[in-house]
Amino acid sequence: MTRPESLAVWAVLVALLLAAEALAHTRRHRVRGLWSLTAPWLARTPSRAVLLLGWMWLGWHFFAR
Amino acid sequence: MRTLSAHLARLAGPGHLAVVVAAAAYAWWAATTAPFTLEGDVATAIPLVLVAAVAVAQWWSARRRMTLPGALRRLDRPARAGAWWPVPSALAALVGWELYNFFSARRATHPTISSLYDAASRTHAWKAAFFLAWLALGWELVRR
Repeated sequence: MTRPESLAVWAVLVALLLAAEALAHTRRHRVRGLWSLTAPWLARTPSRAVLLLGWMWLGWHFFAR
Repeated sequence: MRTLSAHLARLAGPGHLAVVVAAAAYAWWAATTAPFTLEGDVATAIPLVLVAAVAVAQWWSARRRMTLPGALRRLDRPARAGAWWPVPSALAALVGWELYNFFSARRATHPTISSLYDAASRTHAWKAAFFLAWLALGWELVRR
């Protein structure tokens, strides 16, 4: 596989994710979006803390270290 | 489309617009800092501390049955109706492709999210956009 082919697969997969999320916003009752799916985890303190720590790690990994 | 228009209308309000402009300006400044420097650490740590403080305030106010100002309050839970599988399937495919690339030999031909970010972040505007997206994700997480 070449780099352009790898990049093309990345682009297709990101487009699929965006399309799925867009469907959730345009036809709300047909597809559940990211926030609807994460709501049960965000409702409980331990899993909410894990998600927030994940976000913190993401920022630290990309922007600080 | 109704939810998207409502969301955009909420963002276009004067208070929200000021916050969005301030966050964009902060991201633009943060993108001037380099990783592994004190400035980079500080620029990343400030949003971490703010989001952690809001999360702790929400937890504390829920325990004490206190009411936080509207901007810091958690939003109502979204509707649970509809098919659950499209977004997780797309996410699973992305994770699978990331793992395949991560364990493949040459990074040049098998770029991971980190290596793609490294290449893109050499451009200031791209790095600022990624930083702003990270800020938005953190704010959405803490409001939900």
